[in-house]
Amino acid sequence: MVGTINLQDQINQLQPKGYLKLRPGEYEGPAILNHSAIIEGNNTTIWSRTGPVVRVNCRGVVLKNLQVEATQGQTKEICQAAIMTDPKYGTLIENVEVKGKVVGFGEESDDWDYPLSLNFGKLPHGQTLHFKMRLRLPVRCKLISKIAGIKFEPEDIGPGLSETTIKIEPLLENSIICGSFLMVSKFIRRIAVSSTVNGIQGRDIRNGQIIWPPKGTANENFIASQPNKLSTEMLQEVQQNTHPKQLKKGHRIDLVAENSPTKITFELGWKSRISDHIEVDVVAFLLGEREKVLKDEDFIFYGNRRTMDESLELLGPNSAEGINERIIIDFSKIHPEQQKIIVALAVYQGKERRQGFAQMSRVFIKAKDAAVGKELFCFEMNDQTMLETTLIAAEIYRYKGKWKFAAVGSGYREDLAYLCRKYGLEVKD
Amino acid sequence: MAKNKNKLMAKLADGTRVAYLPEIIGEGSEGVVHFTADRKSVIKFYKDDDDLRDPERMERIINIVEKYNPTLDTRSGEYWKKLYCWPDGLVVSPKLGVRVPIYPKNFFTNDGTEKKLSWFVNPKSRKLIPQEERGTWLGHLQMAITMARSTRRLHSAGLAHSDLSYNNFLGDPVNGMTVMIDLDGLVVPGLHPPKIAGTPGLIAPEVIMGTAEPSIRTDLHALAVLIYQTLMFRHPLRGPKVNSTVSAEEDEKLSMGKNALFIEHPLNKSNRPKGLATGYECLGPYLSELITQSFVSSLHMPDNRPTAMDWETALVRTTDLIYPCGCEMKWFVLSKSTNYTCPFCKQKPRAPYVPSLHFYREQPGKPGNFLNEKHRLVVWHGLYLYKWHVFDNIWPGENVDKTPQGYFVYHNYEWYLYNIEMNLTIIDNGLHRNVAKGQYVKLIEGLQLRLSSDPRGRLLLTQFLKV
Repeated sequence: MVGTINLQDQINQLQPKGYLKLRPGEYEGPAILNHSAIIEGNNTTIWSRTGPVVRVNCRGVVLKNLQVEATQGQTKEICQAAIMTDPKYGTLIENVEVKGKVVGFGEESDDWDYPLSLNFGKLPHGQTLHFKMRLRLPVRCKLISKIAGIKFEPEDIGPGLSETTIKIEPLLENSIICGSFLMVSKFIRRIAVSSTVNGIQGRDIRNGQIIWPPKGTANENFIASQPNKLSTEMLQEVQQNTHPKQLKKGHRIDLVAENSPTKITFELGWKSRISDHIEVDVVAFLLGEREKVLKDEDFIFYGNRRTMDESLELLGPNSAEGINERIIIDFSKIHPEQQKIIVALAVYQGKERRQGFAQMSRVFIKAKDAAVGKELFCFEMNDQTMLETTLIAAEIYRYKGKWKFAAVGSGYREDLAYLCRKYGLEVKD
Repeated sequence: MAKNKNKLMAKLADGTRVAYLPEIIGEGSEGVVHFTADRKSVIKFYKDDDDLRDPERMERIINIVEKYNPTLDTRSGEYWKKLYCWPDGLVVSPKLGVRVPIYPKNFFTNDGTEKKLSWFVNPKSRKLIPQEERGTWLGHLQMAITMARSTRRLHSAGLAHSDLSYNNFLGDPVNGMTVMIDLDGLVVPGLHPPKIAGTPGLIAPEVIMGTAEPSIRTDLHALAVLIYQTLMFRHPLRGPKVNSTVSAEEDEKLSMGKNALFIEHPLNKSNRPKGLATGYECLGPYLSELITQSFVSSLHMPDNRPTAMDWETALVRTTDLIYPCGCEMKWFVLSKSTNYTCPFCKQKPRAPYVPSLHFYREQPGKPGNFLNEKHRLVVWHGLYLYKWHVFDNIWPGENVDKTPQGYFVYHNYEWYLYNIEMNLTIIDNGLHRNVAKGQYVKLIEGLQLRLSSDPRGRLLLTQFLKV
């Protein structure tokens, strides 16, 4: 509690049309106003176990910047009212949050059916989510999310039984959501929101699910404040937006069938964690049976950007999307004798400049269907203990009639020349 | 009165006259040491007369006494006075020297001997120390923190110590403090480094190999060795491997230099002492990572060594992982790697479940979104929460407010958090509830604790460890 003087005593000491500025903190009610006054708070809560917490018995009262809380919760009993008045007194309300009922404020005083808290349970990370919330409200309200990345569509709902969609932007792995939604009409009402975001499968609620229906609404037609999308459409949209697979080091997955006409673009990116510029070359080796190149031209690098048969080509960066290099592979054109493709990154003069992958963050390789641009998967090599100066990002290889992708993410504390020698090229020192 | 007659006078560079006693109380290769008459300081006169004429040496000492002196800092100077015996005056007459405050009392034994760190980190000499002077393992962890912190402060000013050693830190494990001494040899930026290479066992491999001079990077090797030794009671590089049979000197040169090999190297076990039961993983994840970096991956890569700030951060965070034990060491890091047993006595905590609170901080610019900080707090009976737990932007460094904000209690097989000063909200299965000051809350699996709804207030997620 703030201060030594009881709140009611402070009110009683006011002259008619007086002004009381309350300090931040909590004041225990109830408070009764029997003559005109302006009561203004600043992060101030007035609470009481028995209501009404604030009772206005006269004209000319202004309540401003306050939270008024009937701590026994939200019931229809007057003794649990947060604020009580008579419409004839015309009490002015400005930025007042209530927990509990209000009495004597016209339609505002009718029944509100909304959750005091919403628990989304365990949400998946990295994907856009949509949920529906149905509320029964006596007046029109604006919904405001105090949590970044969560929005309502529509924001304005009511009066009556209304539905809104809660749209959640992709969440970070192992994070927690903790905050509030506000329903703003003449008063402000708060819905506490929480969720844990887990990398592990096993979400508690499904995308598109109704997360809060008011009592007895199962067969009622809801009233949307604005034309609303059908939930099936929403689900499809969600599925399309679903984030691609994240590969971990050591993962192997199927890419395409041999001789498939599919073209896949591999996008590679990295960021330097240090102020010095780190120069990185992306290279590819097309290897034959004995893990060696069949000819010098099968080494693709900045000086030899494509194979003669156009099966593989370096496309250069796409800076707008943070991509440092792109490689396109047309699997239908790869020579039958070529069994494996090594995609590697090499720090230019890494040893001499003492630069390596330990000084980089977010080193990744992404695969995209070149025809439609749809991302298939992504492999992030986020191991900052990597001391390597050359890094094999991936091996793409033939296996039982398919091309497979192996997420490698390890390399050597040697320069590019070492890799070249390893794969059968002659390099002069 | 007779004593007064024997007083001698010295003059500082600023003209102040200081009386000192003629008795020599200590003598090293560089100089001789006298008490000042008030016995609050000592004066070290340099032996070499050429020093007076060497402008660079003079400039270096002036810089140390004035420009780089952290104890003159208006905000945190008093704190640094506890961590350093920093020279506070340049003596110009009768000879060149420095005036240095005497070591604080807690760094002397009852018979007036200074407590060198070397006594405490060597198991054999530690056994000879009276029980009441030995301190606990937490005291050792705190000594490691003050060593890292005092080194960090030097390095942040661009200074290198050049001889961080068991002899240049005095230790007080009872109070968990160290004090850095012999600071007149600091390497001042832009001026020539001193000729001392360091103390055997702590000299960086590249200095031994003759490819580098003492610097901040070589300090970091010494610091890593000192921290490892303070916490594990053994030297990280001294193992059974013999690198030369020609001479002991040659073997030492190779073992600490070119062929230096971590005794706990995970792949090359040729230097591993027999019966090495407890590995460094018992120090928890934050320190294990830095030890691997220091002695496995970057032993010969000076640029990649963990910084003093890295050490300080990991050490301070490790204090959030400790758990009390009934044995002589009193504390250990509660770690899955040791199956939650004390590495010193193999006992387990008495409570069958121990709360482990995971820290989350609000993402800047994204209210309501809390990120896992990969930092947790192991709870024990009587543990206090401080502001550096409540807010993610408060670092428990030299200027921190140490007012307890809450504390934990184990009672009838249940764990409770009492709120003292926090604006605490709990989120239990989605329901938000305020916990007023003076009130308590029972900890249950999955309970979220919003320690403050003010900006930068943390959220803690409760998990129970089955120990």
